[in-house]
Amino acid sequence: MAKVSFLEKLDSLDRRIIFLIIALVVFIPLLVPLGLPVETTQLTEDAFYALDELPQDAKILLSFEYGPSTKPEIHPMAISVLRHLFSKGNKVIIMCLWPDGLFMANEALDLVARQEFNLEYGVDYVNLGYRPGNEAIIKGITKSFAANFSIDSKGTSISQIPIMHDIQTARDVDFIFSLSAGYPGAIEWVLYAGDPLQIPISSGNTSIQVNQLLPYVKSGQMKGIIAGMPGAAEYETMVIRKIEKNIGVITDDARKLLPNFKERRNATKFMDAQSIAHLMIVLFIVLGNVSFFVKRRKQKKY
Amino acid sequence: MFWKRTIPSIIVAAVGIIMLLSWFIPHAPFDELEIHATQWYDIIASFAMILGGLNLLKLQGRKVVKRQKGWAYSLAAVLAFFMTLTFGFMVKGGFYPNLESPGDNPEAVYAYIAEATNSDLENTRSLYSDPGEDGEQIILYKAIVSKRTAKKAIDELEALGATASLGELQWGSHVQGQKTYYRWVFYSFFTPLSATMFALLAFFVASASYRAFKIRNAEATVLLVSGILIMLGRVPLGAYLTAWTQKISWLSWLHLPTIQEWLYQYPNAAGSRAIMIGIGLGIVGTSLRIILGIEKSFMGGD
Repeated sequence: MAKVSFLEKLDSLDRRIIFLIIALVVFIPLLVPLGLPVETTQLTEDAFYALDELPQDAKILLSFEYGPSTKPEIHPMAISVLRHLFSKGNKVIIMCLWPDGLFMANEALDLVARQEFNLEYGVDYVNLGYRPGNEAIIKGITKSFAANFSIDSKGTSISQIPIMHDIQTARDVDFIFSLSAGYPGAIEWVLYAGDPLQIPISSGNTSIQVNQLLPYVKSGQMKGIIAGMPGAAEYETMVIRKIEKNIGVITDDARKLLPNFKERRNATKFMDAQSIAHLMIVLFIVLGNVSFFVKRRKQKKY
Repeated sequence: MFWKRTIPSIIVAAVGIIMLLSWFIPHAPFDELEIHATQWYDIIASFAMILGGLNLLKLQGRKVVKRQKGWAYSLAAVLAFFMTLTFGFMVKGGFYPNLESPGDNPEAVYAYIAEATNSDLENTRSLYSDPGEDGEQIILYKAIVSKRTAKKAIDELEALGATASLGELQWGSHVQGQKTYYRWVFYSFFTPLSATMFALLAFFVASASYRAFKIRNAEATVLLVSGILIMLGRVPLGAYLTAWTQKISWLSWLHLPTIQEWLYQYPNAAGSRAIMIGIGLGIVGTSLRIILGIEKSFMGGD
């Protein structure tokens, strides 16, 4: 019987060993951060500058279409985008096409709008809440907000919410930003609102969605994308850099909050773990292939 | 046949044609009809949720009654469904003591509130020293605040000389309000379970890539190499490892984030676009077949 080498044995490595190694390479960098620098990419820069160039009185529609499963990837984007917008003095209208998006929106608003910026609900921002209907809601608000959102998430009639007074349809917002982890999400926003009404639109998505969205970015229908946790880390870095270097419009509150933003970098702190985990998966693939070739060569021999 | 086939076909054709025309003729009466149609859709979507719930009960309930394989999981699903339904529609929590006046012994009242809300005495004093006309809501340090708990706190506050009343979140807004049963279910059950399920993906991806990502032919090699480049190029480690290439101009294209970005924006976008155009043409074809009454499979049966 032919002797089985170590490399051949690797091919049938117990999956529990792989799981253990992955767990370790994720945990260790979380406990001992490497502090790898975050470089920004074109996609994130395009999304950042599209929002950054909006005037101070611009109103941005922020849609939450993600839940707890994708929270680690998308929630840091939501926080960074809100910090960016509020640091410029922009007004934000929030709505949710996913039921659990409402909880995510409230969490992000509680942190950024209430605790950090101490903004006034209904004047600086509003949360219209969740409505079932997917793309029909998007199509609906292109004709009338009031017909689809008669009350906000707190039960207040939108006619009594100051920020909504001059917003009748989606045409009245200056920018749409979709924080989306699937359907309905960024694509539906492009198809039913952004493109027909010529409203600039951008999106924060999970990494696996980027493939589907890139054609819309390349055609100019979307202004960049924040792609996955690396994109969120890049966006965090850009917001901090903007305030640090005093570029463009920045409110005094944002300047005061800079140390807080630097301390609470929700995506950047996970990038070391993701870096090492990706490297480990690449090593697994290489080892798997070495084992595969050794085995195949042996089979050809006999 | 007439009621089951012909009438639904006529309705579908009429609605399809109206929606199609409203896209090209954004004027009366088509724009109005479009608003109504989307609102009908919202209403139907809400009823679809009820149907979905009933379907879940029917399928999972049958498994439990017949003691089919994995019936215990079905039982958990049914119980979770009823628990969430109860906390959404019948039992809400979200009660709170409303401090109207601290009374003659304010320091004792502030000390009590600080302990009950698990907050700093100084902050508590500044927050509650001047309750507004409608009183000041006290957020007790508990996951859920029932009527009994809130009443007990009111009794204790009144024993210290304060004037307090019972406040409660309204039905509807309790879904996102603090200290409610619904919120407790979301954060204590749904969030950790959902995050755990998604987090397991990392382990399976590592294990699957080790076993399945093999260089068997030229196509698999292209896929594998681009996969590795994207995985490393997306994370800070990739940029860090190839940072040296930025110092030599003719090697700068070897910078991993640059390669990753190129792969994303050109070959990947081209492939995705081709797939999307194919899907789009398919949707147009199928929609026309439905509107013209050629395609009837959506009605069920033959």
